[in-house]
Amino acid sequence: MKIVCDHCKNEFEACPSCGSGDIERKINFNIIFLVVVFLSCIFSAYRWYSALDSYERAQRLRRAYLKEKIESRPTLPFAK
Amino acid sequence: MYQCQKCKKQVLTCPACKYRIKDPKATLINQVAGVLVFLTIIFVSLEIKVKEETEIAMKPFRQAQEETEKKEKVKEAGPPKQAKPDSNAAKKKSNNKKSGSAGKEGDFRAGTWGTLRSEILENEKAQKLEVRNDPYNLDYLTKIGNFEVVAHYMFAQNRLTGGCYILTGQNLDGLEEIRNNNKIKVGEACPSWVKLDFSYYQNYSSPILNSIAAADQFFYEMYISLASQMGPPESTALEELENSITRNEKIESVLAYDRILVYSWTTQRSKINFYFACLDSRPYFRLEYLSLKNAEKEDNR
Repeated sequence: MKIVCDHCKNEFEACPSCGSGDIERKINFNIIFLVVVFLSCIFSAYRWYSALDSYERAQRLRRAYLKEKIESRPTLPFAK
Repeated sequence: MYQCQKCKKQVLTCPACKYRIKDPKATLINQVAGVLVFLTIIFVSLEIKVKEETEIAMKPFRQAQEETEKKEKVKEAGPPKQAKPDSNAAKKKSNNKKSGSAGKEGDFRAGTWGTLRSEILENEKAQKLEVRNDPYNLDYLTKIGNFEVVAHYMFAQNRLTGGCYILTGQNLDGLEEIRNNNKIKVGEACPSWVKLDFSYYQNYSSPILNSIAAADQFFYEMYISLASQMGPPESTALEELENSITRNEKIESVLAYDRILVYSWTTQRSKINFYFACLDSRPYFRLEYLSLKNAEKEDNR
């Protein structure tokens, strides 16, 4: 695998320690981290969506309750 | 990160310049992960906020549920004796609805704005008064609590545009003393239309509205009744002074110095004005309902 240095723009393929050309990229940890973060993101989005749903239901219930409460208010002791 | 498969050592620095080698692919993955972490934080904070609001919305229901549970527990502990339904109370309730002044749907008594004069004449059950013989007014004698009041309908183009309850009292004693003590003077001077009302309804002044205490009580009971139904008034005659002067000062000022106080509310269909005034030591109350269209004209009165 060809490695390019960002600083001096040199390319090298051999290991600086043993001179072997068998160098590989190791990004397993990064991928695992990405997957975990992605899953947690999906999970938190789902939880937010569920909370939003129950919030809307609560608001509908509250509106219905308030409407009923206002309509069933006792009337004044004179006409209105 | 790069690693040699043979010696298992990580290649971290450039052999030529000894600077740290960056892996563009790993950097990209880390950046994407960073964005996802940021999104996760946003979703979590949104969820917390929404849950808080849901909690606020559900609070009265939870409280009611808790109360019900408590009641159930009390019932389980010892069954209470079942009270007999109060037949008198039920009768009173139904009588109130039939009285023609309370409980009926309407903008003023049984009439909605725009009702024809002839319909009011047909439907109004209270005692009709022959005070003014013109097509713009109709007067009836009715009751608010123990007080006999005049229910006055106002018409324009033969249709109902407003109405009011008018209550006038007897000459009050003790006002001279208040004047001599130089008590605070608040409110506007009593307008001329109050004098006109006194002349129209001089035979219908309430005999029990004959003391400062009775005027005070009637004013506050009416005010509290209105405020409890419609909230605090939208406008008051005293504005900022309203909360800084005492109840007694307000009453004494109106009664002793012939002033007028006005409190106003607006509902979806009506403007409601409550006037408390005094003229020549006689208290005057007027609870006025005006259609919103007519309210502006009446305001310019």
